[in-house]
Amino acid sequence: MFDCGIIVKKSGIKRADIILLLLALLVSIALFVIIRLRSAEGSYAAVFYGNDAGPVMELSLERSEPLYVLLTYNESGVDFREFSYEEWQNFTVPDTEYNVLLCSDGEIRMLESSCPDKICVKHGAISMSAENIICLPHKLVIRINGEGYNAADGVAY
Amino acid sequence: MKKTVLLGFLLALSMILSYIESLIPLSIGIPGIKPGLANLVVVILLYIYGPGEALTVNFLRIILTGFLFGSLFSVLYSAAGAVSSFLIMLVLKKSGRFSVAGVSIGGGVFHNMGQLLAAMLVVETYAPAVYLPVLIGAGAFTGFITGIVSMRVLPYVRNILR
Repeated sequence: MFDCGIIVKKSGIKRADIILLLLALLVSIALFVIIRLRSAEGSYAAVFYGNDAGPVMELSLERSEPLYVLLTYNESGVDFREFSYEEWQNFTVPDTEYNVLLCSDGEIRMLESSCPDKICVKHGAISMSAENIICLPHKLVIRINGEGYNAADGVAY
Repeated sequence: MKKTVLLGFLLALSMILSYIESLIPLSIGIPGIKPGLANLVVVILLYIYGPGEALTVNFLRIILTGFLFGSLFSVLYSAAGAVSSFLIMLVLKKSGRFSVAGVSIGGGVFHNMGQLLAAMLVVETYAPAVYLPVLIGAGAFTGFITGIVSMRVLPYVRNILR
C-alpha cells in the first residue's frame, strides 16, 4: 500500500501501527469537517447548568450594545445579573464562585471565571451554531443555537 | 519484595511525570489536551509485568496526583480515561498485530474518548462532543510519541525491572 519499510526495520514500528495512526488522524479530520459543514452563524446562546435538561437562560447574539452577564451559584441553582458596559465598569465582582459572559457583535465569550483552570475563558469567543464554551468546574455549558444545525439534536455526533 | 519496591519506584516516576505535565501550560482552550507522559510508565508496566500491575499503579497515580495537584473532578476524568485506555491497550496488545507504538496510539485516543464521555455524563449534554475530532487526533499523536519512547526505553529497563 505504502512503503514504510525503512521506518519498520529501524525502530520496530509495525505497518499496523502506521495504519492505526493514519486512520485515527483521518477520522479526526473527517469529524472536524462534518461538524464545520453542519454549522452556521447562530442567533442566540443557550446557557445550561448542572443536570438540567433545558437551558437556564437564553441570550440573543444580535444586539447593538454589549451585554455583560454575571452568573453566581447557590444551592438552588444559578443567579443572573445583566449589566451594560458602563454599569459593568463600576461593578466589583463578589467574593464567591462566579462566571461573567460578554455578549457583543454576534458572538459570546467567557470574560471571567473564578474556576481554577480558566479553560472557559481561554476558549475565546464563539458565534457558530453547535459551538460550545464549557466550564466543567461550574458545570456550565454555553451553546450557540438557531439559524442552522441545532446541536441539541445530537444526531451528527 | 524486590518487585514491590520497583513498582513503588515506577509509581513515584509516573507521579513526577504527571506533575511535570501539570506545569506545562497548554492554553489552547481545549480541555484534555496533554502529552500523557505518565502513559510511558503504564505501557512499560503492561509489557514488563502485566495488566494487573499496570492498572494498580495507574490508579494509585491518578488518586495520589489528583488529590495532590488536581481536584475530585480531575480524578474522575483521569479514571474514566485510564479505564478505557487500559482496555483498548490490552486488546491491541493481545491481538499481536501492533508494536508498543500502536498499542500506545490506541491508549492515547481512548484515554481522551473516555474523558470526553465522562465530561458528557457530568454536564448531561452532547456539548463536549465538538472536541471529539481534536481529541482523537491529539490522542493518536501523543500516544504515538510516548509509544516510540516506551519502545526505545523497554529493552534497557527490562533487565533492571525483572
